[in-house]
Amino acid sequence: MLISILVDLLNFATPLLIAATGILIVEKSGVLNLGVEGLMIVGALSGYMVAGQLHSCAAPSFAGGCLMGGIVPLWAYGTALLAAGLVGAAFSCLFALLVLILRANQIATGLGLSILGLSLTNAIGSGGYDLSGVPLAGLVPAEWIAASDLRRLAAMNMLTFMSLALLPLMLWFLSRTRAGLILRAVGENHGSAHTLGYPVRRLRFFAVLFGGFMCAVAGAYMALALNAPSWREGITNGFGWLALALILFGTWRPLRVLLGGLLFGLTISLGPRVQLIDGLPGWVDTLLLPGLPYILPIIVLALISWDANMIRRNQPGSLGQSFNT
Amino acid sequence: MRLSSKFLAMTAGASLFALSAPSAQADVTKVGFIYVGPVEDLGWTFRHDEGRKAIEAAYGDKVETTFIENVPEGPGAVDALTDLAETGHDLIFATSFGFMDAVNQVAAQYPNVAFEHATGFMRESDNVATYSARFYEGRVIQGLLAANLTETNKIGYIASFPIPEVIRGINAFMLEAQKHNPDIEVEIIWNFSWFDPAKEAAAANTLIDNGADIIVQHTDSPAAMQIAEARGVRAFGQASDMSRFGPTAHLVSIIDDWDSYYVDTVGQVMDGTWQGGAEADTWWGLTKDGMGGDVGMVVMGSYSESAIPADLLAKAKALETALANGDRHAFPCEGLFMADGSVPEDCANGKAHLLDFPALVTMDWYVAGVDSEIPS
Repeated sequence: MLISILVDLLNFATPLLIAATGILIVEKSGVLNLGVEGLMIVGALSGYMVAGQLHSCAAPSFAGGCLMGGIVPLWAYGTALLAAGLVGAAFSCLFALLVLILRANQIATGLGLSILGLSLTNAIGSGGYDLSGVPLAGLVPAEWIAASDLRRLAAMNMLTFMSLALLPLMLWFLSRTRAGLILRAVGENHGSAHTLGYPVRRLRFFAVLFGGFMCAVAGAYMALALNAPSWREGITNGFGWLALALILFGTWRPLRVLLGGLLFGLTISLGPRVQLIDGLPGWVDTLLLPGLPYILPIIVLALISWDANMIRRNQPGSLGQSFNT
Repeated sequence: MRLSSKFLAMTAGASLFALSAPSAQADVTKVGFIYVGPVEDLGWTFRHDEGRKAIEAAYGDKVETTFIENVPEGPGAVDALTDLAETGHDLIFATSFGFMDAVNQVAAQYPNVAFEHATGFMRESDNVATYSARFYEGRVIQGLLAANLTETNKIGYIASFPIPEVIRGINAFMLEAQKHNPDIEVEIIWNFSWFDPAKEAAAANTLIDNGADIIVQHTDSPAAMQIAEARGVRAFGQASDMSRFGPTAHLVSIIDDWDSYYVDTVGQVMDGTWQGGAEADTWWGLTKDGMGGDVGMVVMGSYSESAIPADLLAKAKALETALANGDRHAFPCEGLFMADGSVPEDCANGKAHLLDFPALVTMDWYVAGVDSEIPS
């Protein structure tokens, strides 16, 4: 039981942590991109299609056609994630063009990107690829293990463990490396950074691309690895907005964001479980738990807003402002 | 919402020719569908779409079919229904319970269009008919199988919405299961969605963690079957044949078969005998008449011969035959108690089994032995 809660927690936290890593870098550079949901769903669809394509070529010898039976091998999964990331980076170029070059309003452009991503993927559909019924290769083949709890551990995938390391890595990058410090300088005050000779627009461009890459990988994870591979319209299910809320909850501090991601993962994994507890009022699982990831950031924001210093210390100074030179 | 390309082409065509030729193709019957999920859900919507294809196969050039996928339940469905009505469709199938108010609202505005609403019970105007399948007959067979096959005596049930159709399924399942295994328990998780693979997978995992060794689902994706396969427990397929998602886990699937109803209904619209209104409700089970006639809307698919011992399989098939020809009812009054210990009204009045209306159609109570509360 505990193992299973832990596995679910980590599985649900994975896309949040990956996307939040991308968003953190974008926001630290002073750009607010609300297009996360759109980037994620574009990544989900492209990851699914690439995995489908690779799988149908990779396993032609399986009985009953290559899409049935067999598994999605790890190398195909890795390639699909990478391809999804590249598509996401390309998609975020659109945002970069509008916001950095044409100086469009960041909030409106980001919202537009989300809507565009959702409707674009709806219009394209799965392109005929069908990976339902084709499991993803786990760490260890399931049949090696008898206990059904431990089977869940074995079925976890590398990305989940890697996602835990991402935010500590960002902490190191932002506070210990020259590139990270320059990125923060650009986000804190783009005027001063420009005066000092830093290429504000170019740095922001790379940050936006990185953000697009990470968000799309997070989306591809949801389509391929969150349970068995499957595609449906809107499969990212609001996780992009959750990841944005997570940044607020963590007040732009990498380790707090990591903690928040695990906390959000816990509330999602407890969702079905609390239903089985006798005597618990219905609103706990229908309202409180699903709402918690949104309520918590509001509380945190309200708390830090008491003190102007707190905001100044946490939120990048130029966040959301366009840079005019 | 994704429109089929056919639909887009037709919409464009309709607006181009709307002025000059309002009924240019009077000999072609146009049939529209709105689906709650994607066609590729491999469950509920997939089966309705197979029904749509059956219409095309049966009538060829005489029909034109259109579908709109992923239509949200509730007021959002009004737009989709209006679109279809405005583009000259003669008959519109709305294939989810939650379209009920939207269907009745739009139907009142388009009296010349025939509306068919799946699993609903409201027919406010003469151009609305409803139809549903007696899926609960399949649940009786699942109850027999689960009662005999469970080792932990715990069954995990993944439910969608607390509506009569779902509650009937839970009751029919437990009523039969308890006859064969008095120790059997059911744990229910409500997902409040018809199609959400991640949620269905999490629910299946939770139920298995709690000791369930058989998973029953009243949701549309194959995720639970895949989880059951991965974790080495058994599961029943829902809506379409799900045996390929769980080669060892799968026991039997309740398959929806709308083909003959859809073909019949389109035929009635074509020859002008179609009727809607207060009495126009069709409810087919394993057979159309419940008396051993033609195949109805429910088919039991792919009984597992490896997981089900031969004698139990024979019993299950005998039960299926009895349900199909009316020798058995899913809700016989003998030994039927509600969860609060009382006897249902029909049974108190000396009936042999629960009647369709109002007992089955509006069912909002559990049978004794389902130790749980129906969420509001």
